[in-house]
Amino acid sequence: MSHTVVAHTHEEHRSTKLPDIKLMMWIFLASDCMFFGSLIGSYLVYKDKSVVGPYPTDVLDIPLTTVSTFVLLMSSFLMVLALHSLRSNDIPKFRLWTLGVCVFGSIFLGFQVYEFSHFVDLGLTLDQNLFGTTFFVLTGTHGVHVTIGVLMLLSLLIISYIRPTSAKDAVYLEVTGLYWHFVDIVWIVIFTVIYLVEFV
Amino acid sequence: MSEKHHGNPVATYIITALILGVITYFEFAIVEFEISWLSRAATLFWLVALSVVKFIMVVAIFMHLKDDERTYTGFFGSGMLIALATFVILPILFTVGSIPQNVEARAEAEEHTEVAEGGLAEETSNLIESDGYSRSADQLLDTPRPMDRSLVVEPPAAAEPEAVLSQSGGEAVPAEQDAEGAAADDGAVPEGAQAQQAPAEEPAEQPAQEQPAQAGAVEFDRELGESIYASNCQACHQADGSGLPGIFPPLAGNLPDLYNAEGGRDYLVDVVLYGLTGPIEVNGQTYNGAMPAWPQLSDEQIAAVLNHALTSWGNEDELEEFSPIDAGEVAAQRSEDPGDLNERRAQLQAQ
Repeated sequence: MSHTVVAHTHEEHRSTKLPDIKLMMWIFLASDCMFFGSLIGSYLVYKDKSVVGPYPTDVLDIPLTTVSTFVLLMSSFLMVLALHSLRSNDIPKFRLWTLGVCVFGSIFLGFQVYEFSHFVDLGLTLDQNLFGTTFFVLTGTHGVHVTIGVLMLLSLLIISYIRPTSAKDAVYLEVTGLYWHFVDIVWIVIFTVIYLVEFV
Repeated sequence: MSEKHHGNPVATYIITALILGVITYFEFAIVEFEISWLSRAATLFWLVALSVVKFIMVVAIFMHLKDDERTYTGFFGSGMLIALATFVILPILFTVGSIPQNVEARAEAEEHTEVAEGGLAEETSNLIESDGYSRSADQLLDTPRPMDRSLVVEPPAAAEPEAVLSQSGGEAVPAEQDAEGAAADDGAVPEGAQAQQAPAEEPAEQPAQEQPAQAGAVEFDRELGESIYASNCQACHQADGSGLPGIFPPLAGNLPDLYNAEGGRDYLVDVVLYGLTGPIEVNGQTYNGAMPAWPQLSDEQIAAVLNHALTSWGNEDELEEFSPIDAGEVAAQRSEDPGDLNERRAQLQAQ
């Protein structure tokens, strides 16, 4: 990790023989693991400690969240298709799938906005009880990650119209894709730990 | 970075996506349709197992970690490991810390019911057991003991008949029955001899602390009070009621002074109900913070948490005369205009 070469392009490799940008993304994701690990841990610590309602079982909606989980999973599927198309130099398909990921990600965010505002209507706010505090901070942080992912993908999409994009730029999409899939796996954990387990 | 693509990756992606979708549906079905032959533990196991499968599939196939450089796996894996450790250890840390208190609280609750039923021998052995327990827990954790002090508030078993007589002359009969029961049990239980010494020692260790007035009076939902305190008050006033010097005023040693003054009882209820802002002085130290109002707590919860604070951390020794605050009093204060709480506080402190 400790190299001092300054001028380089993404095609140059270091002693690790790995592209810096990709290695950096993996290291970032490792740190993000710890971030979400402590947020989910905090949620678990304060689980069932709320003194006043609304309680999780009063507000959480499993069918609705299953749909949004499915949407997010499928966005990951579109993400790998986009990367595959770009690697095959199939730019129109790359644009189509990337746009698809953005749309699916936005649908997921739409579900979350609906969920949050619905919860607030039911009386669950950030400062209502421990459930509200830990739930909104955790899922809100995840939502911010999704938003950033959509913005990064939109940027790549726009850049592909501004300057020629080809298979040699695939590493940028790949790295964005890693981030996107990570956001997906975090949601896999959240969906089980916060939503499903509550109703067992 | 060139990854080797075995066969047609798109086919792999499609199959993976299908499996992910099917698993998600299964997870949904397990929870939503409440499958009767699946026990709660089995349901939890399958939910965790299925999400782990999904997790690994996305990481291995969509994120290509399966065919990619091991360095990435190493970095990501170590991050995951630390996250998992946090995930597991954090809840354990919080649970382990609260176990002794819970056990003590439970022992306390049992003790009270038995006192109410009037079993002298049981109470005596409980005194020994719970006292011994709280001491060992103390040595282990070096935490203040909120519980064991209430044993002092409890009338020594030997003194009970007198106390009962002095309070309400007609009801001495149950106390006599207690004595009989004790004698019978003493004969049967081998530890009887030790048990008999305890009531003799207790009054000697804690001489005359207004016990007759408090006989059997400390009867309230301590477990509720503790849990309300832990989730609402403890962050500022601390687990041992000591507060933070100069920032959050202590409850230990402070509440009894207010309580003992005339009107102090209602004042304490009002502070919880309506909060308190502006400079106050406690034990010669000035505090200028803001105590939030807790109208969202129920009458029972406010009564329980106040009773808990009033009878913990040594406060119980400083009370001149204590009967638990009940929910009705809180309801009454809730419907009344509290007036200027700072002024009322000044009046209480002047007494």
